[in-house]
Amino acid sequence: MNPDIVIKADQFGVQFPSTDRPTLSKIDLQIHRGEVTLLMGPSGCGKSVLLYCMNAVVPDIFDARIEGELSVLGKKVLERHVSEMGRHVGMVFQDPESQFAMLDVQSDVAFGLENLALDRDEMRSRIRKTVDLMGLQAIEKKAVWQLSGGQKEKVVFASILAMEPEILLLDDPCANLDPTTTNAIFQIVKTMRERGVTVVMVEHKVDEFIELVDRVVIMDDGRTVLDGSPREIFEKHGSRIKRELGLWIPQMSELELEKRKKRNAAGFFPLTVKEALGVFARYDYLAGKFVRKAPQAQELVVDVEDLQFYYPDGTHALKGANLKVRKGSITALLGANGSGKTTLALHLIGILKPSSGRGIVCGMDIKKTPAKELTKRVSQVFQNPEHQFIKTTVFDEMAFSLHTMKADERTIKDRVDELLSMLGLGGLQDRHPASLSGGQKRRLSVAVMMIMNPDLLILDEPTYGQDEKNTRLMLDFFRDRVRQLGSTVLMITHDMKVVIEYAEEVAVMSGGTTIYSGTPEDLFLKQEILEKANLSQPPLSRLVVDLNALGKGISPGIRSIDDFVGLIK
Amino acid sequence: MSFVKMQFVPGRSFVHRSDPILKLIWLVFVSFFVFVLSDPVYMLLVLLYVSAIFVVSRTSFRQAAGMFSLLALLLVIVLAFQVLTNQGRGQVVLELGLGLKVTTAGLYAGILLTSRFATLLMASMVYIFTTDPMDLAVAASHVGVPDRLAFSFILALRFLPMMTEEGTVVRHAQIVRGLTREKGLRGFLDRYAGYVLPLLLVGIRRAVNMGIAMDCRAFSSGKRTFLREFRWSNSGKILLLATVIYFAVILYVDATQGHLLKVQIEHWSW
Repeated sequence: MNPDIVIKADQFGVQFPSTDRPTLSKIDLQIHRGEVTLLMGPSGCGKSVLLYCMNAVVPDIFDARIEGELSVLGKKVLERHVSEMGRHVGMVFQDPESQFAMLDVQSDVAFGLENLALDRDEMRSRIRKTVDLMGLQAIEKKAVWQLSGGQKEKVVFASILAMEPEILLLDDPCANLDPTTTNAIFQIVKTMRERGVTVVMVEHKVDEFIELVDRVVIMDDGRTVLDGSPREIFEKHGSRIKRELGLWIPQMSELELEKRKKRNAAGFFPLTVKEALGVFARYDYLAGKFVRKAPQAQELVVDVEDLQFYYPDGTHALKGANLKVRKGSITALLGANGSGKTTLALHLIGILKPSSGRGIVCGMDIKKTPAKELTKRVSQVFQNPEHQFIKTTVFDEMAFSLHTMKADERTIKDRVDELLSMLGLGGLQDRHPASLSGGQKRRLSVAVMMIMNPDLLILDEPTYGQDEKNTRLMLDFFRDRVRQLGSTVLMITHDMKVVIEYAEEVAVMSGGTTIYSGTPEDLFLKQEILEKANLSQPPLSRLVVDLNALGKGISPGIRSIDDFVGLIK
Repeated sequence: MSFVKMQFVPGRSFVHRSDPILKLIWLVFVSFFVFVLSDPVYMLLVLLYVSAIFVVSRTSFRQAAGMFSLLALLLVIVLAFQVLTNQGRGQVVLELGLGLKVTTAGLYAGILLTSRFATLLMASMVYIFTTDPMDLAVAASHVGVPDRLAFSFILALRFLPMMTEEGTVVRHAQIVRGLTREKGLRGFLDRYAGYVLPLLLVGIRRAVNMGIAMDCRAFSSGKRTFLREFRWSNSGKILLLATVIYFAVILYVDATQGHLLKVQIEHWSW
């Protein structure tokens, strides 16, 4: 075997005992040493399973029938144990919380080194190097539960990197991270690439990582359908990947593809903003302001002023939070991990009561109204859908709230069927909620909350780990509800592409205080606020800012690729 | 988070410097010894001794009280119950009326049992507050406990605060679903069923993921080393030796002098 090939799949297939169809079949794949490979595909296509085969989690821990062959670093994974593979192959998962083996940062970094049976001097020197590389000096002695979300993720990476793996497998580690922390992870992967580590990643944040990616492998229905350099793949197949598979592709590539539809000029195909700047600086743009129609109603659904809140342990979580949400709008609540967004949301549904300040939600005083009353008109979809499931079938789950409202059976059945089919869940009425796929669970948790027609719906990270198709399905659904029924949506999110496209207004929190409220397009021009709140511009906004620095005079009001393409002269 | 309060507090005291194994032997020794004694005065001497070690270990009383306030209440109940029900053949000290009287026998039995409990609690607190669980894992592995078992203790310590947090989120998530609106037994049952399902789902997934993540980091892939050193500690030896001598003296006095208080105590076996 060519020593340069570190992962080799040969007609490789996987079938789990619980399913009647193979999850992976006839996979042929060769990954070279030092390559950064991005595995993409719609939910359920088997990309994560393929990743988990590369360090023998499948079939060593999750039993499965294997066909063909997969060898990693010359070892046939079928014959190996996870812990044995772990000596050379590092893996980072989504939830940092369940990846700590020890109670403090230093001991956790040491854990893997102890497993490699290194001597103390070697361990100490590796810990030193890793802690310095990751900038963890200040928290080295801290207990893991005292860390912020971003710090936790960095410690998880530090613990793996200290082991100096030859291959690094990443299973969507940035799903719930704010843009600044995502960028920190980008820097780590970049360093690893420079050191010749082979990286295979499943990652929904394509824009953030595309610069590092040497190779894209697209999967669908258990097979690899496309395999090549990102430029080649997205140039030739970008539209199809987006349209048919419903995947995020780099926004700049999407822009180029749309532009080519309008003017038939094939040239250099951009992936990043920097590359796109070269391409789009050649054009001139129509002048004129892009004016958005401001929300009509002036009536406020949420009107919160100067909220202060202390947790029982003394943490000062809200230090003067303000929030105004107009009726019939989609408003985004942004901010770093731990900036107080979730705490503020819990005040809006009456679960937490402010220490001081005032707030009116749907005409009710949040200080005096109990959660029992507020939740009749305000709903929240929590981050983890499973937290909100109570019943054993999808139908009962949906009908639960209607039953408590004493609705009659006929109405219940009609409402449930209607909503389920609107969210693409028709026919799943009798399934157990826990048995649904991730995307289906997410949509069910939304449907369950929408069935009461709340005046205000709060969404906590609605796009968490979703592909483009599911994200759009859900967000379009909300936009329709807002337009047709005059409902109001407040969404907490880290996804800036979603913000600029769907939100009419944004509020930004930092350290428990609201530091900005206004339109997203204005926000993305304010560098100091973006930095303070760990945010970043979506690629398209960055491109516009960069083009305007060259004197192109593009209206900063543009929000979508269509807007932009329409301006090209 | 209240859970964190019942954990190890770093320090440099004599007791902190004792290694986890000798300290564990000390704890087991004290726990057995309190059942050997049947005289409240000797028992109080043992309690005094363990209290002295508690003070030497610089364990904060406030923290200990926070953790054991419920158990302390239990102690008071045990004392009251013994004093009031164990009438024995002792002298009557106090007439309370309604047929209730305090006798010397009841008083002594109450003091014996209460100080026995208190000694056990004190000694356990000293152990918990002065022993780093990670050192305990290293020590356990050193004396031949399999790694998986030694580390399961640490995992449990990680798992608890995680599930506490998870429980809070689930409660919030379910308030939003309107679970609190239903009254009566049905509403009560629904509420609990509502907790159990998601906590179980998430708990099992978390536990599995924790195990996988550890294995992915080459856990139990062969011989393992430790960053932390395990050494039999001199302070541990001194602690154990001093305790043995002190207890031996008490036993000797007990055997030669008999009970200091010439009172027949009806034994309450438990």
